[in-house]
Amino acid sequence: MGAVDVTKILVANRGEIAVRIIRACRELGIATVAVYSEADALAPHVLLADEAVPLGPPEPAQSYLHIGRMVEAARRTGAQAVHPGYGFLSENPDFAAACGEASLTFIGPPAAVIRALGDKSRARRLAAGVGVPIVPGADDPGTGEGALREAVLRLGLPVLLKAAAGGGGKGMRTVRDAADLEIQAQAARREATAAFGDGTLLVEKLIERPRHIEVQILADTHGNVVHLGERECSVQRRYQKVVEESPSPLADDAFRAALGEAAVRVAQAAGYVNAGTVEFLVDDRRNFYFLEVNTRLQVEHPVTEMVAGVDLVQAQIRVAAGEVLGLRQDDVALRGWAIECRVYAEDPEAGFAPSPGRVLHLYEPQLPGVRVDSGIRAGQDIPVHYDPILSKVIAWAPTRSAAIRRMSQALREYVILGPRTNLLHLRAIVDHPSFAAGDLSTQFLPDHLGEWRSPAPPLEVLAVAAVLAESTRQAPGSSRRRGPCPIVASPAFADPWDRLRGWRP
Amino acid sequence: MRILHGVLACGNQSVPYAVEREGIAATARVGDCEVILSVHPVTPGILAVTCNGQNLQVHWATDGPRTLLHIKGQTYEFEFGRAGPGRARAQVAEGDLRAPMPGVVTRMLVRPGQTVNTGDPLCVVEAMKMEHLVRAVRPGRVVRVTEPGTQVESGAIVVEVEKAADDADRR
Repeated sequence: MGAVDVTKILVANRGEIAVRIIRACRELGIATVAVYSEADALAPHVLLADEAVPLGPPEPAQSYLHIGRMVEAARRTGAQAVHPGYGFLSENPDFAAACGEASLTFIGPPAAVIRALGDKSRARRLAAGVGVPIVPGADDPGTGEGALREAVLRLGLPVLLKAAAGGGGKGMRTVRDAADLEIQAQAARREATAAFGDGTLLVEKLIERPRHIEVQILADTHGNVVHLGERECSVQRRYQKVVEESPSPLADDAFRAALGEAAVRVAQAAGYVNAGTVEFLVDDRRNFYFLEVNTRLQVEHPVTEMVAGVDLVQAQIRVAAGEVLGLRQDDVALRGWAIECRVYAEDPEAGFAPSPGRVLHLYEPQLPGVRVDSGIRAGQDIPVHYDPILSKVIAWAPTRSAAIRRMSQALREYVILGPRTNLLHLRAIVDHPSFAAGDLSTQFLPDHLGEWRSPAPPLEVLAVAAVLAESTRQAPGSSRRRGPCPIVASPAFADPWDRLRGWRP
Repeated sequence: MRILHGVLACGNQSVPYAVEREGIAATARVGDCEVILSVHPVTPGILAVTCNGQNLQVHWATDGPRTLLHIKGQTYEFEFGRAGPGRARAQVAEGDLRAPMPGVVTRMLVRPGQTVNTGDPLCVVEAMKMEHLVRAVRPGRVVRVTEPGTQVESGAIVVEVEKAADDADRR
């Protein structure tokens, strides 16, 4: 393929992203090795790959986060390269380094780049150094509460406390009142230590109702860097993205060019290689501020793929193999509009508490322009040990309003019975007039859907439920296992009710 | 032909129903309303239902006492019971702490014998990278606790709290 001959790739992840990577490899004619924990023995990514290697017990530290076992699995199966996906080991510089030491090609940036950009304070300094605006703040105010208080008073309230090593909202706290500072800082440190093993905090001036807009970049080992436009990911719950789209309804050509150019400058300053994302916050006057760089494939990468016409996973593999980017900035043109909704195993009726369990029935939407990146199958037990993301629905259409209509219809047709999911809540988001208006901020959900409840079942639903119940239930007092229910079919024709009964597990 | 009576529980709501079936047709009375239905199985888990003349595609599955239905873009969950006296439910001592979701008990913050007050943190249940703090709902003495690392189902008792005998005196 290039400088490195890649014929077999180990996919160091699970769920929908592992499935996505395996599919990209298959298209390129590259063999795949899946890895799995005891909780994932018959998961879709395991069944789909050409080979699968068990890692160990379900706990992430014993399986998907275990660098030694991961490298050993690659060595034993003869894979030349490792794709880390997102989460788990994807932004762990030690893993990238361990791959290098084992003569495995890590599909991502060099370990030193991951390390430098993974430190948020360092990344901020790097961006500021090349003239990219950053959110006013204090890097590394020291571990003492006194130093922190001083930094906060200097910036002025409200502020945001963040884990320097963080991501995904862990260790993030808003402070509006100086009296809350100590208690919030302690909570943030505790969370940061638990999640990242590092309690270092940084303080930023809070931007009220910001939009979250990020730029996809792609860089090869020959010094070429391009950006593939922006994604808006403002609809978030507890700092977790829920709905993403590309392009951003806020961006015009000039804004896109300025943002993209800033992202490319950061990437070049960092010596970036492979696919990455430069995240920005945008205030209500369309000023943008550098936030951080994610040195991996993003969950929401498909919206960029749909509008830019680039398969990012395949591009990552080619770059890692040493190929030259076959794409100049002038070649990049965004076409149409793409929206992604993340489907989580969460119960919206119970404060979005995780809802693992067995998938009893699954039906995916089949509509033109709709793509489902899924990591689940019917009959699978969704484990409690990992992220609650089940799948992603991506809808593409020539215009934003058409993409919204398509998404709404796709969410309506998507059926997952078993774990409770946020499918209906997602539809409430994309059907909301403020969403249609493109009036987004990271406060979208609390602002518009804070009081949202799923509608109570209408009469016809209760009627259907009652009839189905009577067709499947047992006679009172009889054991569940003791044969069919007492409804007797006429011998003259095959009663569909009998067939209903046969489906009971 | 016979009429079957039952009770349908959905969330906190309980609705009595009556169903009369003949072949693939059925008449269901729910509350004061009557609906005429016909049901045609299409593939496992999918039914074509005609409801008062309107075509519906219904997805359904059962899981122990749960029946799950997906109709017109929304999923509903029901439990069924026969009409008559309410089903006997396992009685649990008031004040026991139940897991808020299926997960793993990651930290136990109390020991048996320890007295706790309302609102005291008792343990942490973690699932899908989310932590949930379980707090005491009334004062009492901890009788039994779950070993950290134990995987629990939603609603499982994670901490057993005995009501303090001198509860009233202490107020």
